[in-house]
Amino acid sequence: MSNKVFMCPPDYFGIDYVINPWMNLEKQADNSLAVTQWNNLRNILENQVGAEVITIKPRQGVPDMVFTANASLIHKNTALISRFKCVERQPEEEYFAEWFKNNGYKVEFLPKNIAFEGAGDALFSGDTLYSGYIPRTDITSHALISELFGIKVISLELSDKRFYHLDTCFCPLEDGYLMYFPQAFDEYANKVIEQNFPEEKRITVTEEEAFYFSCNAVNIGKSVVMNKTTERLKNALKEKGFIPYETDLNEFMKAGGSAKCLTLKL
Amino acid sequence: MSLKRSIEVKGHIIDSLTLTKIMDIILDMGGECNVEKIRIGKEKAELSYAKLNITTETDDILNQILEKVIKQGANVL
Repeated sequence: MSNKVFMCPPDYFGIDYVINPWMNLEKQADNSLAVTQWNNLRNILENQVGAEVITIKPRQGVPDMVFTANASLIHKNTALISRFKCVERQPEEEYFAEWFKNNGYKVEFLPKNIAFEGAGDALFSGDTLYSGYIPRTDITSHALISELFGIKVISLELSDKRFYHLDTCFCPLEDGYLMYFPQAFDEYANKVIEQNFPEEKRITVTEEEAFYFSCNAVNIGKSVVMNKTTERLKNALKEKGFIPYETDLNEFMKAGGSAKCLTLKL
Repeated sequence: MSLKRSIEVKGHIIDSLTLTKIMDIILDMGGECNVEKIRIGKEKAELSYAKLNITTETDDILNQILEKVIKQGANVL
């Protein structure tokens, strides 16, 4: 398993528009503090978790480019570039496509009329891909992804607008574990989750922990890197053999993103 | 008067409970449905397919049903 993580420095990060319930133009991000927080995350990934961080040049006018989880979905050496639902993020597509092409990936696209927001809405557990839909990704993308990559794609409807990407409420961990917030899903998705992850492998988060975006965590090996969270959840992870690392990412929470959103595992 | 429309849906619709959800939507909203055709993928990554016929008493109900099932991936025929 690769330990390479793709990130974008937050040089131009700020709240320039409102495209999710967490954003508010009157609650601006402090860019200087955001840079410090981003560097802290990078430092943990490189120096404590042992990841290799690879970056893309940030661009003016696309403040959410920092959320590289939405750049694409990676499968083997292919990068399926996102088709952003919101027009504000669509300019990022060409920058990400160019980077993946220049770095040896085969680049694929879905049709323009089908929204798909990359690894923010599609996460592997083993060789099965779980993909969210409704807020930002269209379910019609799932069959196309299945055919493109020859994989099983399980569709999970996101029923709470605050958890608008799958990675804000669903975090597959090593060895078949799952950390998730059941209230973010409809009854069908919860049944599917329970059918695919045995009870002893499910770590549910509380509403408080969900609002810290605790499920928006980066898992590499036994390490789980996340925004500041509760002692309860850290202990729950430790009991299952994981090593939690906390780092304050509140400036990015103002844009509706946290540790997982800021990264893309290559 | 009964109105009829067919839809098809493709994907991992059994494992995701999508087919069940679509049928529940139709029935809960006052329509009837029958499965005209179903093909279940044999291999793990193989997609399943279903064609459903929806029957409703009114245009309004039919349109409301179609709006909802389209969001669940149904293609209206």
